Amino acid sequence: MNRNLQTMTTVFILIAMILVGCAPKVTPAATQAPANPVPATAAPATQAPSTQAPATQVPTVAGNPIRIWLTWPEAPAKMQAYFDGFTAETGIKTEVTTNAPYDKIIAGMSGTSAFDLLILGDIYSVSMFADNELIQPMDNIISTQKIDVNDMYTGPRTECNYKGKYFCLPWGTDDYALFWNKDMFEAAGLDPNKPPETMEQMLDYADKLTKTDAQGNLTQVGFIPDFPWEHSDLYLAMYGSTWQSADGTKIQFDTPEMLAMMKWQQQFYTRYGADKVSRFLASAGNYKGADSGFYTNKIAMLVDGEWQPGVDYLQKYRPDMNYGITSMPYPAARPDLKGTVVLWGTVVEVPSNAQNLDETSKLIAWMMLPKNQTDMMIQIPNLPSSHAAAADPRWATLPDLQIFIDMMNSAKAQPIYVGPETYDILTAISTIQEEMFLKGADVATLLKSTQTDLQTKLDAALKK
Amino acid sequence: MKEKKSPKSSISSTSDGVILPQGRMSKKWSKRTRRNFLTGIGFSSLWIIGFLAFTLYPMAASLYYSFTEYHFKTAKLWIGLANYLKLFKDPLFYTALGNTCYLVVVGISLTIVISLTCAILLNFKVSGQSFYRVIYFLPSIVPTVAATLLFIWVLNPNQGYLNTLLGKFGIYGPDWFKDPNWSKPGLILLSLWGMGQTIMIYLSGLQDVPTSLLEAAEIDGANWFQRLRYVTIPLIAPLTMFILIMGIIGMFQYFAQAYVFANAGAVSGALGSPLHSTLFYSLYLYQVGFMQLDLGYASAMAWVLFVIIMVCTLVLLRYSSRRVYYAG
Repeated sequence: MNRNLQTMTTVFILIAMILVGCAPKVTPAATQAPANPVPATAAPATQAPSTQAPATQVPTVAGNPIRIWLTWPEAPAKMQAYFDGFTAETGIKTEVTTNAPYDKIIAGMSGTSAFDLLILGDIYSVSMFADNELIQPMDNIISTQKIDVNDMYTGPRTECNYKGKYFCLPWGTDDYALFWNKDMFEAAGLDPNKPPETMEQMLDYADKLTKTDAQGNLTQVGFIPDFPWEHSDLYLAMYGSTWQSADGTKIQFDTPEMLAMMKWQQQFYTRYGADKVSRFLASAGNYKGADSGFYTNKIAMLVDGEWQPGVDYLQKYRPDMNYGITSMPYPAARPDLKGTVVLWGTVVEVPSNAQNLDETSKLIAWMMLPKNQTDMMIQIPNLPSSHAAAADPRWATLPDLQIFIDMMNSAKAQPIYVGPETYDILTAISTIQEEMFLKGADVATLLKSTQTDLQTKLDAALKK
Repeated sequence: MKEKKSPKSSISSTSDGVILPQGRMSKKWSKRTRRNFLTGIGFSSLWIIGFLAFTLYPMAASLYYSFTEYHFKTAKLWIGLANYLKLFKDPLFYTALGNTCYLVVVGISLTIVISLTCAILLNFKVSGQSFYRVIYFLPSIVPTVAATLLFIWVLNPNQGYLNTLLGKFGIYGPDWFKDPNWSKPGLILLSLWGMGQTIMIYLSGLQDVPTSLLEAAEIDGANWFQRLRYVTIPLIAPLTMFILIMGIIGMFQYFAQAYVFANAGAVSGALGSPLHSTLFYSLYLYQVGFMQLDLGYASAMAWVLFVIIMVCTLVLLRYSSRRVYYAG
């Protein structure tokens, strides 16, 4: 009897210990950087160092730290050091996790609160998160913290306004330009200081820059429109159209502009052989790595964002490259669209189940201050999201960034329409590109069927 | 056991239970029986709690979700069979199911044939036999993600080892990543590389085949192949059935390799690239649930998959009872 009682007691104690040990503990894999608000970077001397206010003796605020998750793959220590500047000023601690995977973000927002602030490197999921009540409107934060949204650039600000509410705030804007390798241009007999002006010229230049070996395999290409990722939004803007109407009620896949844009892209595959181009791409290296096709003189032209001249890309992998930057070429028939650019960017969102809302609000307000925004964006670099931040004299020390800032400031800068079908639109474009690049499928037929399908889905989504 | 007789009936009781007329046991438990039962429950309570919390409850919850419109945080709206009806009208459902069935049929068939062949070869008494057995088993203990990343290099159409090797024989290797005709065979090659455990199962089975039967067949004039066909294979049929059933259950849930393939940059574009050729059932389920945030629909998909696997397993078990020889 006593033996059985002892056994039962032991078993129940074990069960209790296991249950306690298995209780959900929401602790992201954060790293604590040393409390240095000014991270040391490998930036050249032209970049002014980040200037944070010296940390005065601010008492630490009791309570949980603000948990910040980023989808950026930045080094955690670097991001933590930046947010330690907020801690130095307010005493409120932060805990940073970078490179957060998408499915963990969804789980964190839908279950037990895993984080208080989400910094996403794209805006297309804002509508989906908002429709599914995973993120909360930030209008209250904007008003209580007196964040000046009107000072933000129209494009990024518009992208965060969904169904009349701000579900995110822009924190660093992206736009895209054409990079070209001047040495490769010269070797191909092209003027190294004269990049293509029109999209038709891009095809001609690509022909001159493309080389094959004795077996007919590509060894060098001029341009691949979807390397490292597709830019249909930008290319379509150059043709004067968008995926979706400005009011979001119409899908615009069946327009002549969309057809022309897709056919233009298709030519970069079909004229050299789709199989040969895709094999070439398989050995074109990693986008962010020393073996990238652009860094190893395999790809002569590249459409990329303002971070490309920065410390983590060209400066790191090819500081010696002789390159140029110009705005995306326009169709020869549309010179009025020269300088057109599409704005993307990083956004900050607050999950619906965030716990430390007051502290998080203060952090957001701190991040939006022009000086603090510039402190982070100038390191990457990304573009400032507000006019006040763009006025910071430090931007002038980065000459490569000026073209991106000018494009962002121009009247031709366009936002992306973010709506309930944005995810489906991106998926559809990806599928169409595969069909037309790999199989040489008829673009018009693909666009027509996709138009019908997406419009049906959009109509259903708008009715909800 | 002390027998007591009730003065008023022919019912007798023992210290363990009450024996009714005609020798039947009463349903009433004695204290000892009850104590033993509770002790057993106590020891198995860990598993019971785990089963209830992590298996039964999620299954019941997902069954309920499959009849609702449910998007994580939004309220669950009962919609009856709408998710199931939507499923059967969804072309991607058929694409995903077709891709998965391809993997099941081709992948498992090749796994069985090749692993049996390897097991037969590894059963020969040659010098270095242990070494060969280790070599063939090692790939099966490489973690799935690491193996997949490795194969992204192996299958690189320009510089990968496989196409380079094929090139030496004058064969122009396919684009394993971008050609939809070759993407699934590439993943099957990855699965075959890791079939060491199946080889070991067959090897143990081959060693269990009674040598007396093989000798008797040899005396009767059977050659090597006939002994294999008429003696060895029937005797290891239970193992084949086990591998087949486990393989079907596993292959229908194929996910990790295709997911890593897509996310490691082997193919650009959405999950399931190129042209949905690697969009397997579980991958599509994941996409619906965690990228489109439609948990109700994803739950319906999960239950359909459960039914498919269950039916396949039951059919095989029924077949095995008639056609598979179980010694003993």
